[in-house]
Amino acid sequence: MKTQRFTDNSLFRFLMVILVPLAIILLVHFKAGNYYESILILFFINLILAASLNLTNGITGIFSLGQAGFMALGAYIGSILTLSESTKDTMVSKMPQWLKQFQLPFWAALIVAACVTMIIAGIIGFAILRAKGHYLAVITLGMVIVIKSVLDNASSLTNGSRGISGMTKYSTLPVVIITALISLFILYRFRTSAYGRSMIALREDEDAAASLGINHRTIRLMSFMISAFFAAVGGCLWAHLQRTIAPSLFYFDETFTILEMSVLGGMASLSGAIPGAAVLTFLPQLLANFSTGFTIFGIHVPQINGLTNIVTSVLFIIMIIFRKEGITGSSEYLVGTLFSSSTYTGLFRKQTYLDFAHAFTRKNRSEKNKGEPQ
Amino acid sequence: MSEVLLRVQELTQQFKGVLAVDHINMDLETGKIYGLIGTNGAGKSTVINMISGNLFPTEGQILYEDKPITHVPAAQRARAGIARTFQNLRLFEDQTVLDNVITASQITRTYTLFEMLTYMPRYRREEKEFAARSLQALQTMGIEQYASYQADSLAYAFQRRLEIARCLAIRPKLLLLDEPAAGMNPQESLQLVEDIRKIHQVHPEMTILLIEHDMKVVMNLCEYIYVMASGRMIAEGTPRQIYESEEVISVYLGGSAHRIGKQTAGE
Ligand SMILES: Nc1ncnc2c1ncn2[C@@H]1O[C@H](COP(=O)(O)OP(=O)(O)OP(=O)(O)O)[C@@H](O)[C@H]1O
Ligand SMILES: [Mg+2]
Repeated sequence: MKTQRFTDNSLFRFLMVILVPLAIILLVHFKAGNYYESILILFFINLILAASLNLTNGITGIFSLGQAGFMALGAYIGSILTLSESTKDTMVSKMPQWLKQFQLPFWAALIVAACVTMIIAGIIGFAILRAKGHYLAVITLGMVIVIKSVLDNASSLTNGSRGISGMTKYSTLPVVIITALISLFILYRFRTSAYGRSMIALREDEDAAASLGINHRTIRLMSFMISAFFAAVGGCLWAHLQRTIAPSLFYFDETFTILEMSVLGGMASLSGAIPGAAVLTFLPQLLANFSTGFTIFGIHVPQINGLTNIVTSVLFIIMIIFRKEGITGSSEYLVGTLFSSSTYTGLFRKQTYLDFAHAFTRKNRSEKNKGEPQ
Repeated sequence: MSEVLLRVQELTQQFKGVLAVDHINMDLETGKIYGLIGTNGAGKSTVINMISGNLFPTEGQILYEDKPITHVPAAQRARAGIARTFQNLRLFEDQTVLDNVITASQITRTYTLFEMLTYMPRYRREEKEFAARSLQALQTMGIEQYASYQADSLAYAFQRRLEIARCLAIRPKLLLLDEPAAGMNPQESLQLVEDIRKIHQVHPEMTILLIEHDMKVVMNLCEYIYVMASGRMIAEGTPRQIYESEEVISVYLGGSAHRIGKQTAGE
């Protein structure tokens, strides 16, 4: 039933995965609008965030709502590390002297922020991962609240609810593309290795997994920590795109935006992060054009407040009703194609193009994987 | 060959209100096939759950290779060589058949996280090994041609076989089979008996404990049989002894020993 529709046609997948985004990028540079570029940057950041959530929620089956919290940690730690001494001096004057003087290049700050967040996630996870299902969802949501109030109150480090600003805009398009590719690659390596298979086994059947020697504590914790690592990467990139952060930005709104991307795209596969992030990054921007009112067939539609929220929520509900496994389901063809060498070698083979033409002219129903035995 | 692999002493499981297993004793010697029979609700599955570690006993102890494992978690027991199937199939349904088995054969993984991320030779070699061993296990169970199918798209009898293949992939010393022929037609269960015999020939050092309702299967296959009724061990012995035991016959109402509990097969 869930056979991958494009398994036999790597070129087709290639077009979907690489050429389409590339075309968009080219288009952006053609128009040279700063606005389009920042949307695209946001897309790649969201991609990292959604993929990181998919690892826990979809693949390992631990339903976490804590991504915004880890994102906040990554954003704050990263920003504090890249800001110059003088900026920190004027903005957060109570910050300890050594930390004021401590400044790292962006890439180093990014990695340190992610690693520190991962360690914090490890400590939190050790305590909370005994809980399961709804309980865990509520606990992780509680964690987001706790992290926010810590950031609000630890004003000698974070400048309290006013937040910190003045970061350099390091998150340029090449930076986020490279980071997103590396992040996806690492997550994909996990997904296809013994670790990923253990995660899936735990999601599908914990008793069966245990009877095959899979230690649920270790694997769950690992999944939670890696997920936090990439949430922090996303958060740090985000901070260096917006250049100003405050605790309230990493709260329920962000939590549910990431969750929506993840669910809409398809939680159970990393590939799902691609359509998920795309829809929820581009759609709101598109809708923003209409929210001030527009004319259709001569009828003037007045301004609708919260049009974006209404449309995305309706979309979300429709998706939950009709295809609750999300756009990609659990199939991994998008990311798989991206990192499979046959995709690239296939470009130089005639057969690939013939297959592509075949698929294009006729619904390519592969006989190989279809049909039920007996 | 007569060293004891698994020793169960005064094993007891008290659920709320139900004494499911009542102070039973078992000695399983290396390389033999044992049968565990009994009526519906006799406590057979509960015994297997306790041996595999999916359930901890309320009393008594389990010795495996002369070491107490009574409170060792299931995952660790699997790594020590105890494999099991479940009475009601527990496959990873939306994974492929091959992936189901690889998830088991990866129990021997020694590559590290770092080696995995950097695609080091050891990672690649072991992953290949897992796949090869899994295919071999599928071959033993005669379902290697379905390797790329989604597990729940297989016919029921094949899903049962897949679950056994998954056990074989961890190279167990003790294989616990909970009604592997349940839901199969007579022909299929006959074939399964042959396959279990084959497994036993290929791995003579493997000990097998088989729960089965079908008396014919058990009498055919097992060298030694335990009989349970309402949580207690009411008899044990060679098939011949069990066949002739009056106590067993009387428990099974009127003594149609050939069809002990047959009417309850399935569940
Ligand atoms: N988790 C549980 N909680 C409470 N009672 C249980 C539980 N599991 C089993 N029981 C009870 O324990 C008794 C033994 O159950 P068990 O499943 O071991 O029987 P069985 O011999 O495997 O039977 P069957 O032939 O139906 O598989 C039954 O009365 C059952 O209702
Ligand atoms: Mg049972």
